[in-house]
Formats: sequence, structure tokens, C-alpha cells
Amino acid sequence: MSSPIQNNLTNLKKSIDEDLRNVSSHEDLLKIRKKYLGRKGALTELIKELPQMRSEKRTQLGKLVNQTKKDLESQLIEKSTRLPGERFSLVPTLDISLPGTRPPLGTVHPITKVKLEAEEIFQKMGFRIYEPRLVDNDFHNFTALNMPRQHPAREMWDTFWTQDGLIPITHTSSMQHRILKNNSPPIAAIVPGRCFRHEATDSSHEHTFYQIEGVYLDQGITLADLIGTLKTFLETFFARELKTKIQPSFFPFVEPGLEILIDCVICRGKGCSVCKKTGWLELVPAGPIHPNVLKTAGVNHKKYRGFAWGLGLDRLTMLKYKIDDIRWFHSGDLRFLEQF
Amino acid sequence: MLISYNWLREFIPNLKARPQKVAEKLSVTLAEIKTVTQKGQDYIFEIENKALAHRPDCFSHLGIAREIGAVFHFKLNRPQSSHFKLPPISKTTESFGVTIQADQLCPRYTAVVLNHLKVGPSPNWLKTALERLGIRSINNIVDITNYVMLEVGQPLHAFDRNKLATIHTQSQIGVRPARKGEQITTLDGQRRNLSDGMLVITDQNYLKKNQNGRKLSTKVNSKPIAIAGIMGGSETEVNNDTTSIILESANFNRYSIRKTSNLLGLRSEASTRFEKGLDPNLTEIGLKRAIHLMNQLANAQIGSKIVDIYPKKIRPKTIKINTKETNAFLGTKLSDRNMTTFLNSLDLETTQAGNALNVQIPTFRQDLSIPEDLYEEIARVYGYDKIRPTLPKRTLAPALPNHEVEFDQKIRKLFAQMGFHEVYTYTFVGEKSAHNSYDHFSKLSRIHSERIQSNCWSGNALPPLQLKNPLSPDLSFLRQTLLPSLLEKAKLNQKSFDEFKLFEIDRVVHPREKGKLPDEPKHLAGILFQSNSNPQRLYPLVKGALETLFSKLNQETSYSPKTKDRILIHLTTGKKLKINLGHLDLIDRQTIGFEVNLSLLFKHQKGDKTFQPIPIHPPVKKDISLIIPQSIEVGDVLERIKDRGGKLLKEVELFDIYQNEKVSGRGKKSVAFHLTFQSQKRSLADKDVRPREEKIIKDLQQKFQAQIRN
Repeated sequence: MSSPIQNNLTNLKKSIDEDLRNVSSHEDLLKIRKKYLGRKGALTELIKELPQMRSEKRTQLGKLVNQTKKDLESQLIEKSTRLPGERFSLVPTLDISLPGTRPPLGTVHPITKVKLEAEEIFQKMGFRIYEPRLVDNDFHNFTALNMPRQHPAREMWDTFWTQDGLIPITHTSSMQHRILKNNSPPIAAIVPGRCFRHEATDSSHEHTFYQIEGVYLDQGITLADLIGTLKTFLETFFARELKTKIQPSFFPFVEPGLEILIDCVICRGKGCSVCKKTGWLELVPAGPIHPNVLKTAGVNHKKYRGFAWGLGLDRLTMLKYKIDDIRWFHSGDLRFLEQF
Repeated sequence: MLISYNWLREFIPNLKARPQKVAEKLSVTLAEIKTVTQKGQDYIFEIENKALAHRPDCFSHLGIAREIGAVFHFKLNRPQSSHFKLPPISKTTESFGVTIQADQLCPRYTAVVLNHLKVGPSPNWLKTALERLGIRSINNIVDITNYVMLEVGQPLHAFDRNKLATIHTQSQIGVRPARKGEQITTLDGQRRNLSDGMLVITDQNYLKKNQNGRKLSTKVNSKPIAIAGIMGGSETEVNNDTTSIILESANFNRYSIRKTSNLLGLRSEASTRFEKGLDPNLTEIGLKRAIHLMNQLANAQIGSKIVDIYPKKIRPKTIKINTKETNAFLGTKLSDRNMTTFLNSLDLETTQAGNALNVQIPTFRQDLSIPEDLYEEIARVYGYDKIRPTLPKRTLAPALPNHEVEFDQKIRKLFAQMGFHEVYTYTFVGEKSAHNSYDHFSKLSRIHSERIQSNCWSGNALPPLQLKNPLSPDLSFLRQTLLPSLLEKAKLNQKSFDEFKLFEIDRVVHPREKGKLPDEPKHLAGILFQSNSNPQRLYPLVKGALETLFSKLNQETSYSPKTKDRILIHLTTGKKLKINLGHLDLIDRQTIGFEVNLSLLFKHQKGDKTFQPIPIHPPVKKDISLIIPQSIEVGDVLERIKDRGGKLLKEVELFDIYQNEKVSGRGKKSVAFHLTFQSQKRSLADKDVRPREEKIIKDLQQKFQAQIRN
């Protein structure tokens, strides 16, 4: 039993075979494609009729029509490869300049990225990660760090205070006492975390910022070791050799207090807006741990020496991605975040 | 602090290095020089004060010159004794007294009466010297006090003696803590309220008089005429009519000065120096230098003996260092000779005994008290740049991991993979402003205030910590929850994006009873925004993300409604366990948020997943389509099928759900499930699963009034 459409299909197949036999050029192939597969082509028309058929027949015939279409397409390609001369593309061309459709990935915050990178380097160097509290007491933020009450140096830290006298930490050095007290030497630790300073926000200052405190304690370590450790970290992080410069500074919990500078990673020391034309970047305040801090933590300061530093994560992130304004970090603006 | 290059050269005439060069060198040996500015023929250095917080001696040209001399190897041209040459003391010596009622706060008080003054404008050289350093020229007397302070570092103050009360021609100066309620008008014209404990200089002979000059009281009162070490009072100010002064050169307790200056919000050149802890032995040097200059420039004649109250004399001390230990500390190989030279160049005299150096510390170096301080002095003069960087020698033991940090890193990465963007928001939040800015989110202000006032996890609903000194009202509380901050960021991003997902991981602050540090659990919050959406569409997307999280952590969870728009998330791993982990919030038609206590999740962390062998026998798949009353939750049907499915039922999956009255009828919905049956032992045939399938269907019909669809 055959329906009109079925007959139609049989005829079509014959006609296709006939046409294919007589092909002698690419133009012929294009003509055939247009005749059967074009918008008003014979096969196309047939496909359009399918939905009107009864359902049992539809499935069966649909398969046949589709098969015929596929056969024709593959034969057209086959023929074209055998024909001499410049080839016409017989199947719709792939426009390779089309933009890709990207899988919808999210991002981690650039500070998280840099933090992970820094943590990894320090971990490879043997430093264990500790996390600070957000809010700590006066003892851990100041007193244990050789800044008893009334010590004027406390005011170098523009401190927030809660109503009941606690401190949103001004530096992640707030963990130093606990680390020194609860571990036995050798101690190598880093403390990445969020800190707070009571200062107005502008393009390079934030009341909320991030720091990686480092603490090292062992016998026989030297100031040269401190400089070497930080130089090694920074060279690994920036993936190049760096020049370092040391500036004396003052922090009550280290003696002597140092500021470690590197040649500007933006201009390579030539002088630019980032390094304020000096060619140098002030990156890490550091120094040998003050004997009073060791004593308070119960460390035998005659036997052991330590060093500590406070690396600014925001600064490191801004340098790495050339971000010109620190306020982007807490903006929550996706146009910024998407880029990382 | 500002320093003049030309002035420095008065002390180091041989200094040939260009100003820029000197600044560079000082930056690496003393403190950062922030700027070098040319002013006429001179160059002005701006030195970073913070780096000199412990070096009061460097708040003077003499002090900086000493440092330069050391690092450039020049001998300092110390002020000649002629600079201090005093005029003869006149025969009509007036008696004049000082009473100190607070020894602790005033270690030394030196003063003198100067008469026959000719007050007037300063000579040009003096005016220029001050003005290039940002100090306004007033008159020769005041200018000299400032000049001497900039030169040797000792702040001075001159009181107009004729404006002080006298009893039998005698003036009496007092030093005492202020009394509550006392007031003074300072030289800047401000009326200031003094409080208990602020140190003041008083006119001891002051008598209360009425307007006609008659005594009101016979009792002698002492009246504040200056805030000690910070600023003088305007009543005793020196002006062009002044002919006689009391010149004060004193030493005050640094902490007291600092405290008073903070309480009054008043800083001065004098207080900046005193609060660093000046050398009491400097008062005499400063006073003599000022008398000398006042004699030369203002005809000053000494009118009294020099009063000098100095009960506890400060003397040089000795610090012993070991040269081997010094090298071991610095990582250097300096010779004893080198060290000695470096120390001597800073006026630190040394005597050697074997490996030990006894270093005599002059009193102007109060900052030097332990051997480490001297290691620094040696390193500074030697040059830090000459120390060759090394790495510590250590064992090969790897760093111990911090599992909590790793856990948090894993989750950050997972959420980024799932299309969430990590944001950082402030720990500080506002109470009132939060309400106003959240109008856009209909329910948000409620969620926010609810959390601000209480805390949904810790049970003890203590109010959030509040800052005493917030930067602004909207940064005055320490947050107990992350979600409100995320919603604020969501609102901001709606201007540019139709759809996005945000997340944040940070600690929140849950106060505990007084005396205890707050709890600081780590939270994870996320938000999904889709414009023109609805909760039916959003909910599975957010829940799916959470399901992925929990499945990665090998945890099981359940969800239960708390209110109309809050769904609680429970951790149900383990039979008896049911812990509230957090919640999902339906914020509005376009926004869903969630917040989870990560610390809790970490605490109940499960081990790694165990590999499940892949079954070798093919599964048999069955589809069941049902029409059930709308009130029945799909989750319950799913659980029921699993429960009744028997051992062979491996998986049940919802693949279709819709409500269409035409298809399902009023109050009904259509649901469809894929059921996968599989055996580890053999290939199943249709006949193996058909009875089970029928049993499930029968059960669903009874339990949920389900109808079977074809």
C-alpha cells in the first residue's frame, strides 16, 4: 500500500539518481542542491507535507525522507571531491570568525587569587597558614606586641574600637603572640586576613584591607635571612629578579624596624605614577621580633631569634593586575569582578 | 617634619653631596624623605615622622646633621660655645620662683627672667629661616624660641612677665594638673576647657580682682597661663609692648603631653617633640642658646638667676654588646673596629673588652636601651644594602596544612565554577541606612533588621557589636550575617546585568557575654538575580548549587519551611543528626539568597567519597507519569518511590512537572519520573521489574490520590 507521498518519494529518488549521474561541474552540484534541498526544493516541500499525515504513517515515512536527504547530501559532497577545479562549499559554510559561546564561569575575587598564590609560595617555603580573628582584644592587638596601654606608638594604628573595648584588628600581627606561645620552635607561620584602619577612603586608602603577617622563629637566624626570605617570596611572586632596598622604620614589635622596597614592577625602576617617580615600591614592613614580644610569649629570647613582617595584599593585587583604585575591591561591581 | 638643607650645612660645612643625594642616603639610613623641594637657594626635606616616632633627637637640625655626618663620614661642626655665651647677670636680680606640684609629669623645669627687651620684627635671616620651614614670623622673641627649637630640638615658651601677678614684686610660676572646670584661651584664640590631669603652667600669685582692680579675695589662686608643652595662653602673650619675660625651657612627660593633646585635639610643634620623649638635659642647652640670641637681637638682659628644678638627674647609661653576637644577629662579618667606628660616628662612645663593646649612651638617645637597638645603629651606618640576603637553614619537614583554610578555598573555587562571582563586602554595616537603601527589596529591610537585632544561629540573641568611633553611621555595626551586604551589591549590579550570581565567604561576628571574645563563624552567602523571573524558576537553580556543594562534601541535607519566604537548610548526614546549617531566602520575584554556616559544615566534615563499582549488568528504565493534587510536595512523592522501590531501584529522577488545568484538572499537577532498576548480579528483564513498578503505582494511588497518565 502506498500513499501519494510515498510514490512521490520513489519518483524523486529516481530523479535524483538521474541528475547525479549527469554531473560534470560544481555548478551542476549547486543546481541539484537547489532543486531538491533549496527553500522550495522538492525534498524540502515533501518534508513540509509530513505533519499533515496520519501519525502511524508519519513516523515511517519521515525516516525515509530524512534518509533520502542525508544520502543526497553525502553524495553531493562525495561528487564534489572528485571534480577538478576550485571547490564550492556545498554544505553551509562554517564562519570561523563567529564569537564563541562561553560556558558561564564565575570568578574568585582578585584578592582571593593573589592570596592563594601568596599562600602557595609561602607554604612551599615551609610556612603554615593561620587565620586571624576579625575582632580581638587590646592585649593581642597591642600589649603583647610591645605596646602597653598609653604607648604613643599605638596611635600609628588608626584604630576602631567597639563600645565594649574590643578592636577590629588593625593588623594580622594580632595572631603573633598566640603563634609564638602555642608552638615550639622552629616556627614558620603566615597569617593572611582582613584588617581595619580608621581612615578615610580614597584611591589608595581603605578602612578595610588585607595583610599577610609572617612569623619566623628559630635559633641562629639573621637579619640577612629576613631580607632573603622576603626577597625570595617577592621574586617568586613577580616571577623575576628584583632589586631590594631597605629603609629604616619604626614599629614597636620589631627591632630594628625596616621597610623593604623593591624596584618598581610597573616601570622597572624608571619612575612612574605607581612608584611616585621614585622607581621604588615600599612593600613590606618587617624586622626581627622585639625581645619584649618574645618574652611576653614565653620564648627564651636569649636562645631564639625571630623575624616578622606584614605584607599588604591589596597592594600586591593592585600591582599584579595594574588596578589603579583600591575602591574597586569592595565595590561589588561585576564589571570589575568579571575580569578576573 | 621639614628640614632645611642649608641649615644642615651650618653644622656640616664640608657636605658637598647634592640635596637629592643626601635625601636618598637619609632614606636608607634614617627615615624616608618624602619630598625634596627647592625654595630659593635652599632645599627643604620632608621627613616621614612615623619612622622617627622613637627619635626625638632627630626633630632638630642638629640631630639630622649628626646622622648625615655619620653616614657621609663627616665630622660634625658642633655649635660653638660662643653660641651659648650669656650676657652678664644684672645687679638688680629679681627673685622669681617656680613651684612644681607634679614631679612625675615635669621632670625638669628651667626658666629665667629677661628684662629690657626691645621687641620688634626679626632680622631677615631669622624670618627666612622660619618661613621656609612653614613657621610664621611673629616678633624677635617668639621667633627665637621657634628657631632654637628647630635648631637643637628644645621647645621654649616666653611669658610676658608684666602680665603676671606679683606679690612684693615677685612672680611665681606653678606647674600642676588642671582642675575640672578650668579654662584657658590659647594663643590661637580658642577658648579651651581643661579637664582633670591636663598639665598646666600657672600664675601662682593670681588674685581674683573685680573690675576696679580691688581684690575680691585675699586667698591666692593659681591660674593657668599655658597648657604645658602644648600651647601658651593668650593673656600672657609676648607682643611689641613687652619689656620683660619669663623664658621657660622645660621637660614634660611624653604620655601626659600626648594624652592632653589628644583630648584637646590640639597639636603643636612643641607637643610633637615632647610626646616623643625629649632629653631633660636639653633644657639648659636650649635656654642658654635662646638667651644668647635674645641678648643679641632684642637686647635681653638676664634679670634673675636661672631657676632649674631637676630632682632626678638623667645620666648617660652603658649598653654592653658582643661583637660576635652582633654579626650573628645581622648576618654580617664586620670587624670590631668597623663597629666601633660606626657607633662613634653617632656620638656613641665605646670601650672594648675582648668581644664586648661597652657603649655609652648619651642622654639624647633615650631610644637606645637594649643590644638590638645598637645592632640597628651599626647596620644603619654600615648600610642595610650591604647585607647579603640569605635564606634560613631549616629542616625539610613540610608545612603543616590548615584544613579549615583548604576547605574554604575548595568552596570558593567550586562556586566560581558554578558561575558565581565572588564579592568582598565590608564587615561594617549600618542599621538605619540599611533600611533606606533596601527599599527596592520589599522584604529586605525586615530580614536585615531581624538579623541586626538577633542572630539566628547562636541562639543567644545578643545585639551586634557597635563601633565607638565609626567612620559613618552606615559603617557602625559589625555584621552578624553576610546576606544583606550581598543584596546591596545585587541591587547595584542590576543596572548593568539582567542575570547574575554572587557569593561571599567571610567571618561574621556573634557577640558573647562580656569578657569573652565574640564567636566568629565563617559564613558562605550567595545570591541569584534574574530579571523578570519567578521563584519557581529561581529556587531550583539556587538549590541545585547548594546540592552540588553538599554532594561534593559528601553531605546530606534537608529543607524545611520556616516562614513564607525563608527555607531552612539542615544537615542530615548520619541518622540522628539534624543541624540547622543556614537558610534560603526568597527576597523578591527576581532574587533568591542563601547563607550557610561554613564553620559548622567544616566541623561535621565527612571523609572522602568511596568509589562505587560500576555495575556491569544493564539497567531497566521505567517512566511513571502521575497526576497528583497540587498540595502534595514532589519531594514526598520522590521519597515514597525510593522507599517502596525495593533493592533493585537504583535511581529516581523527576523529569517533568507542570500545572495545566486542561491536562491535569483543577487543583492538580502532572509529574513524571524516570525509575532506574539495576542488579549487581544479573541482567534484569522487564518481567523482573514489572511487579515492583505496579506495586509502587498502587501505593502512590493510595497514598497521594495519584492518577496514572498515559
